Amino acid sequence: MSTAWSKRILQLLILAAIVGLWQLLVSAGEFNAIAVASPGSVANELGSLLGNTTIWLDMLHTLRGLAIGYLAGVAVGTAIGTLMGVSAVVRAYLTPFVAFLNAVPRLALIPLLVAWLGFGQSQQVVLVFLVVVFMVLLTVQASVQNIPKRFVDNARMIGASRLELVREVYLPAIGIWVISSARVAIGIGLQVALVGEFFGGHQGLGYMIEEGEATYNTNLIYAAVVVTAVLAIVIDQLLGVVNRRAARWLP
Amino acid sequence: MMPETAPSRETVMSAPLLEVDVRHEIKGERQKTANLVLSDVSLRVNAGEFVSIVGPSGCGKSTLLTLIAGLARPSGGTIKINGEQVTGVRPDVGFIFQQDALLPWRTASENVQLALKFRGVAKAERRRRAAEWMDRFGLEDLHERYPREMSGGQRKRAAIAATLVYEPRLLLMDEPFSALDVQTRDFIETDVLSAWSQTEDQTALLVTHDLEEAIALSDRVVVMSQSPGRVVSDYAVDIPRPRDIMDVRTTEHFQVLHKKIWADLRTQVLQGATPGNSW
Amino acid sequence: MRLWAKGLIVLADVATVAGVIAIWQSDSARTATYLSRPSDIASAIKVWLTNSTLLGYIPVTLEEAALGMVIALVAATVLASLLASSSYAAGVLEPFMALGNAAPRIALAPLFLLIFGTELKSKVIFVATAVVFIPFFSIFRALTTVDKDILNNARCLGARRMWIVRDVYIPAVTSSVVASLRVTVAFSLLTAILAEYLASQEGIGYEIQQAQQNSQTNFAMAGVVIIALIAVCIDMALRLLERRALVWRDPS
Repeated sequence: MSTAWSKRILQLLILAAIVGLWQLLVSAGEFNAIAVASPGSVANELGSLLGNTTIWLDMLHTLRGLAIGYLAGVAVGTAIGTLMGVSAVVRAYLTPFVAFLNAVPRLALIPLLVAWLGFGQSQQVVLVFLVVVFMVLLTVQASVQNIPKRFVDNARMIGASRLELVREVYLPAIGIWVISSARVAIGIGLQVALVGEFFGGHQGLGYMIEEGEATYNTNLIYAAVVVTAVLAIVIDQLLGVVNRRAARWLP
Repeated sequence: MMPETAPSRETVMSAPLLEVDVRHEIKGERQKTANLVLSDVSLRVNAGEFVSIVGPSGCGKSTLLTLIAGLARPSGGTIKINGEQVTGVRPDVGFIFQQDALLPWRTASENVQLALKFRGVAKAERRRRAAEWMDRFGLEDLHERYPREMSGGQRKRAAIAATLVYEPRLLLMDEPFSALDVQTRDFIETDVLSAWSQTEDQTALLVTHDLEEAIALSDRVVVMSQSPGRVVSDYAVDIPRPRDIMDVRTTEHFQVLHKKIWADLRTQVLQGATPGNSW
Repeated sequence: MRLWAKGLIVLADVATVAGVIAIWQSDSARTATYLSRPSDIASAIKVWLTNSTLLGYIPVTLEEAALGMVIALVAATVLASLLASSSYAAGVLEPFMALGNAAPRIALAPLFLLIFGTELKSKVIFVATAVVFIPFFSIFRALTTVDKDILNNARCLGARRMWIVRDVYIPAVTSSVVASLRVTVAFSLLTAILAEYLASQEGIGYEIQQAQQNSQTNFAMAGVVIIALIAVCIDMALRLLERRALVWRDPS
């Protein structure tokens, strides 16, 4: 039996063991059954939820908040990051602010956002935006500054204007990095989107979790987590495809 | 030692194309002090000349070229091209880097067209001109290749074509052939020399550590001192043109010159080395 | 950049901050109701620092974060070492680690609080599980990408296993921990605060939530400012540490 196969089998065995152990402990009354739901009951809950339309609406709600905050974050982060990488003046001016705001744990700002924007979806979107924008900004800035000098010098020598320099050298060069940092950012963005729903609104996967906690319905929590994990994997795979296609012409 | 004056390819009575009188220092990262890289370098190059600069490692010859290109500003002194002071990058100056600077996300043809694109040349026209130059350098079948798919020699040729395509009046080259194997080097040098001689009034300034290459290609060889660098001597290379790069080295004329300049260069190299610190 | 240009930019920065605070302070109708005024926040901060209960909340939060982080670091080192020593084990367990990393860990906070209660212990466990993957991947990567040349060289020089562990692997571990330390610490603090927002009886996060619910916005803001200042100071200190400790690192 080849090693690849033996690994797969071992993985499945481990997975089965974990699920089996979980079910066993719950049935044996080891944990407080309310707090730690059994795999069986979670599966049940999932099944009934998936039949009902509300879970799809919740998913869409979360995805919508994620999408807006994320795309805005990537756009703004790329723009400012490029600017800071290219212009020494802009970099010197903005770095103290960026460094300071980046060091502040953005999730700690949730009560502020709620106070300011209320309990709707906007505070969630702003939260996702704030987290994503710094991640992208710093990565983009670093990648602009890491472009080998001779590419920039050569482009200047053959007559590129400032705009052409950005379009022909900087943007393609950082494009690679933006895509790979975008992958990491969306994973985190999804989690932040969920957390954002803890504190406001009446929809979304995060709200499901919060509702599950409030009503001691752990099945609901686990179900929401499973759905989120699946979503995360799907999104990551999609971005993986984009990443691979973009890496075609890399040296 | 007094620099010997150089008879150029055609005796030009007007002012030199390039006038350099600079000193330059670079501020260190950690230390607060500045490193003097070039101390009072004076150089005159006439239009149409092919001049090489040789010198010990670290003597600042690459830095000098960067300053002439306008990519950096000298700490003190002036550089004038055609009587105008150099304040930045100029469209009539070309630079060939030691490592090729072809954009990895563009094909060879697109890379060569880039300079023309920046000059507003129409698409069909620039494709034609790029193809012309690429063929001159032996890249006939490689137009649609990406740099990643080409050998080192092919990339170097493409990089040279990408600079020559806009026929710069002053061509600066910073050890462009050092990364190539000897045979490839000879072929590419031949192509560069023929391109230069066919381009009207093109002036070339080559920085190299290979003295043979310098003599084989140039009208003049300038020797620089150890760091902080300055011009120590200026030799005329009056081997007649057109030259055969591969054969010229075996001629007696060449050997004599080589011996003379090498002795000079060696003195400069050894001046920096004391017993035990050559590591 | 010339010195005078640098000075000008510093002035521009200071002016921007002063300007923002001034507008915030003056603009009565809009932001004041939502975010309260800088002057009110300042007085709230003063109260915070003089009141013993409130002041005592700060070490509580820091303790949750610190304990959780230490546990995470230990667990990460053990796990990473285990997986790095056997490529087979690594191949088997890697998808599980990836899954654990992909799981919405911070979104699981309510679940942890439900299972483990609302005292200190549960927050420490939550912080640990949320944080552990960061140093894990960093250490794992450092251990598995030790320069082959360094290893071979050590062997040629006659180094025994113990020496290799001590002089090659342990420095690799410590330097990867230091390199990922800023993110690890920041994340630990963040998860501790988040847990307190959701369910707690003490801590900075708890007080912020309380103040919010009692519409004492200036106290909530004061809490956020305090967290921000703590986080920034820790970050600056870690930057210095990182620079000192990783002086040998090639900037690439």
